[in-house]
Amino acid sequence: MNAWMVRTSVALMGAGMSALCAAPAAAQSGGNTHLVVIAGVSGEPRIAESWTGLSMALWTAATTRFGIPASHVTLLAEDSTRDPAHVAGRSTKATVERILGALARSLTAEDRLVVVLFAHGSALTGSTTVNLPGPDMSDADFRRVLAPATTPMVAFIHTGSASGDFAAALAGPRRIVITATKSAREQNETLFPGYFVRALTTEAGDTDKDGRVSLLEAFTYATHEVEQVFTQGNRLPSEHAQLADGADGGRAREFFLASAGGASVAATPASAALLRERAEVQASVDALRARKTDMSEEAYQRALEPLMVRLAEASRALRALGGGTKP
Amino acid sequence: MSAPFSVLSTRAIVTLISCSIVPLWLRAQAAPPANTTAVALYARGDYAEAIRTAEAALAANPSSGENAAVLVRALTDLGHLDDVAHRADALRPLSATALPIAYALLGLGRLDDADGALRLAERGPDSLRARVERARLQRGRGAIDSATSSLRRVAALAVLVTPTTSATDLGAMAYANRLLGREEPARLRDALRLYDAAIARDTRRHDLRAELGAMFLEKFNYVDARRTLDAALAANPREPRALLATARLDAAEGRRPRGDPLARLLALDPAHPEGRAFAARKLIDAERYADAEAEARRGLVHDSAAPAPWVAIAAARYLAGDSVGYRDAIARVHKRLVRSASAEVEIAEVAARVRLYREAARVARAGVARDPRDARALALLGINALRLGDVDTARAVLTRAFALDPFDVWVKNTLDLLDTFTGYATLRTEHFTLVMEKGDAEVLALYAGPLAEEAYESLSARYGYRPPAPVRAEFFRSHADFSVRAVGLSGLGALGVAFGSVIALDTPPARDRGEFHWGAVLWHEFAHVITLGMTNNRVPRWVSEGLSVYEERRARPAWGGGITPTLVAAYKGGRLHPPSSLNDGFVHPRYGEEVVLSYALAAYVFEMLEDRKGAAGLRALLNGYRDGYGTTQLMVRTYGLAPAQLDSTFDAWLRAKFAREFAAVELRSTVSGSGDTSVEAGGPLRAALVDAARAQQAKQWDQVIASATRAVALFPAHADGGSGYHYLIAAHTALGDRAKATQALQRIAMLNESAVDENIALAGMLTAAHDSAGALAALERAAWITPFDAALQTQLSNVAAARGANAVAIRARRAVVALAPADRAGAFFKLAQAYVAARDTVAARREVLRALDLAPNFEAAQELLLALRSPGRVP
Repeated sequence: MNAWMVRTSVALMGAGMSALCAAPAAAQSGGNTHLVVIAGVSGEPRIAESWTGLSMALWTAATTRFGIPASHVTLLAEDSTRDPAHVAGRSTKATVERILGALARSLTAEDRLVVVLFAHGSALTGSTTVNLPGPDMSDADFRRVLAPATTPMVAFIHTGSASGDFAAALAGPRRIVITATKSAREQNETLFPGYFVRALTTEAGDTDKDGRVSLLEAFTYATHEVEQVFTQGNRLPSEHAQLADGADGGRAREFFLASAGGASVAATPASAALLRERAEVQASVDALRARKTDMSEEAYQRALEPLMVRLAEASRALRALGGGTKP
Repeated sequence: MSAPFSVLSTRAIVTLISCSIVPLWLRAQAAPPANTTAVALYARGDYAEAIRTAEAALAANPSSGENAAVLVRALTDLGHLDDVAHRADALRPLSATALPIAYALLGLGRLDDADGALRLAERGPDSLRARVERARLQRGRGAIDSATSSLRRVAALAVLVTPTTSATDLGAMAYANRLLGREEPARLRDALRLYDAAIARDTRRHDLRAELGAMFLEKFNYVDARRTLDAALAANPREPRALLATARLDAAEGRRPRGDPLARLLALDPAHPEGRAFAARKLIDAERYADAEAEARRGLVHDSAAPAPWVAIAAARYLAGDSVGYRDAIARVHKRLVRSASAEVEIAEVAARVRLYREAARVARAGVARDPRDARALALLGINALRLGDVDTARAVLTRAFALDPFDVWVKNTLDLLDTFTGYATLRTEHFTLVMEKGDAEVLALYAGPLAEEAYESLSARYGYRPPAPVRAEFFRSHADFSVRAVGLSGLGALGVAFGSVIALDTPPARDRGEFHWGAVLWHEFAHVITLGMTNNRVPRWVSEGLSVYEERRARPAWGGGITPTLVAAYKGGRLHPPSSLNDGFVHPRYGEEVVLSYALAAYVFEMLEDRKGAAGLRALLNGYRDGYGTTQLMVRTYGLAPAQLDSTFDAWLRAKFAREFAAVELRSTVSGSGDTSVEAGGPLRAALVDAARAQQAKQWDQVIASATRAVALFPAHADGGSGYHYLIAAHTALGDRAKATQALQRIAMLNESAVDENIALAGMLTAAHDSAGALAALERAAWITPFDAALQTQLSNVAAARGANAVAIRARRAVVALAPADRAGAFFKLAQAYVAARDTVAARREVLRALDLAPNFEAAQELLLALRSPGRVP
């Protein structure tokens, strides 16, 4: 989907459209997406294997499903010799600082930078660090390296143990920070990364069924699945993920690695009418939802069904016009 | 209360200054006696030698109060009470003997004489203790207020304690506080402090240690009770009070007694009333009521009206259904213990132990009527009300009990548990009220509701008895909560409990994955509802448990355990009771595994009995228990089998039925570090499995297959970890023979009720072999074991949907929805699809709208909605 078409859709849908529908358009407003995946010191072959798999899953999804050029995807790993075709280098502090520093200085306001860390964290020296081959990198190091990136949107995702303090350290007006733990004291191996990557790279995380997965959806999915593991095992959770974007999840909701799904519809009077129809229905749905708690489920569904039928028919008609129907 | 008490206190202090304080100051400790003095001999339990030494000393110096006191105490501890009474006149002039003589007279039931002796003792060195004992005597006679006043006066002296106050006086003040603590729990802390001071003051006062240990035991502090009593018995292994308290502690903790403290107590004094009463209670637990009465009567030698044996006799008669005899016995107790609920407390406890919860509640209520401030009576009323499903009464009564005795951990735990009930959902089926944690209810009800109803219909028809509805079934995801529900404390090993029409059990999250099958437990407990209900709770434990396990086996092939190498080994090795005394295997197990093995064996007894007379025989048996007959009579009447015949017939039947297994296994006992023995299976089966293990280590797969095949042939039902099947799976997998590995896995999955992971693995192998029907069956078995596994339910729903097993697919997809997946819209949509497949368009529409409510632009759901509105277009 090209950016113009999205902007057109927004204009047609009008102000009454819910944030759910309007948000992706704003998020995909051009520029380039850069993805940097950093896998630190694993400590054992099982974890190394896991991080390699997760890194590759992200690389594959980024370069295929998300449409990010391979040149914009950088994988750094503990052992860069294992897969030289994909791994750009060893995940040393120097390399990380060089690559992130260069991106932070060069990206424009339209661009987006996504940093994903698969690494053990620790808080032994007074500051929170991630374990990299050679010297570790602290939250302050990352803050310093990324400091020049004041205008591009930066998503920083630390999926490892003791990651919680990174949220406060890296927070900023154009930042989304996700950590697998709520503090540096949660130091057990985390379950979060597997579920987070699954959410991003499969349909599992697409909970609103709009064909794409936002960072908020991926975060919510991973958090939920981690909770389920602990609940079903009757165990006290040892990790509590957190998301900080300064907007109660609003920025993360609008942040997609993927471009908007499906083909686009031409801006014709017919499609405009259909999009207007959908927007109206959506507004009615929003109004109905506001009254949901006062209604029985049966009554709610009775009121909802005609609206959903109208929405479905409009979507079907839009598809018939040869374009995507995703908002 | 506070004003009169203040006046009394002031008055008491004046009195103290005039008569008690001075002795307190004067009674400084004498120099420790040599090891050979009567005092030292008595302190270490050498009573006979203490008596000889004291008598010799008295012959030399008739005014030696210390030796006289030791003589009387030693004679009393040995039960020579008449001897003491004979010598009383000669010894009484010595002030130190007054209290010990009073104890002997109390033991003889000569209460007025004892009162006189105590009055005398009040003027001597034991004055404080004598006052406390007199107060106790008054209390027993119903003079509660004056007794309480006396105790308070003694307790008030604690403020005047000095470093020279004697251990005897400190102990007396401690005891006064302990008795007052019954209604004023804060005083128990004072009692503890004073006991500690008394024991520190005179380390030879093992009697005070025993008293302190008993206080800990009374207040459920088993750890400190054990420590204190062990210390007392380490110093004096024959300290009678410590022996009695230790026997009680063992019973409270469910521990097999080490060193048999009760036997040691009765060896000292064969007519010890509390000792015989306690022994009688153990027989009552074993449901041997006539033996219990005979045992209790041995405790009436010293005092024909001694309350403890009469309480035990009353309990035995009550449980035996002898109402006239019961009334006579309880009246005797009431005559001695006016206004006391102690008999009712005891009887309620034993009634509950033999599952007569309604009776326990009734007796406890009578106890509360006699003494409304008896915390234990209130607690028993509350606990048994809860067992009967009356939650509101339970909460109200337990709250009262807790206010009187905040140390009752059972009450506190139960109140805490009741507080959590706000987080439980209550669901109703035709015959059941299902109480489940809200988070579990939607999933669990999918399985528990239909299974409970199936059990109801199946077992009601079989036994000709329909339990009154609703039966209340409580499901706990926390094993600790279940344990509190069952026994008031955490740590219970059982998985379920039935109180009559109330069942409680663990749910899968309460235990490790694959540890048990909750459905089998539900079935088992409901079988108890039948057997308890049919017999008015008068079915012996071994019968009820045996039938429950037997019914599990009849319900599903893998349930109920079946024959195991350990069971055969234990039986062949004589480590299990025969049917005629199998109840002892439940109530007085001799080693750790005996209870579990007794369950399994008992089930076979009933299989044999059904072979002989069908279900009608079982019904006749249970009806006979209802009518008050005992097992011996019923076995003769119903099956023509006297106890010896029952045992020999069963033995022959079992050996014939499992001839192959009996040939494969021999007993192999090992003794653990704690001295407990464990039962292990040796013999040819073990040899084959050892060979298989050795060959597996060497990767000699053909040899593994040969040995494992031999093991399977020797004992086909053995499918637990390390069975021949497990070796076969490893060997065939290593050799790439998936078909044979699958066969072996299939056997485990079919034989082991909780083999969840084996069933999931089997499903994978069968799917790969294009056996979707087999895969579906395996996934179904796994989902029944652990319905909360979202991935498993998803897999099951997919396989079921693909095979057109619509009901299973719907249930699995409802389970997925209930498990609150991250992709809820997707889960609703798939459920809608399952309803479409089952041609339930109404439900399909409901679910697809739920999906669209969450994800309005969900294209596939939109299309399904449109299709559902266009007849003929439904996919």
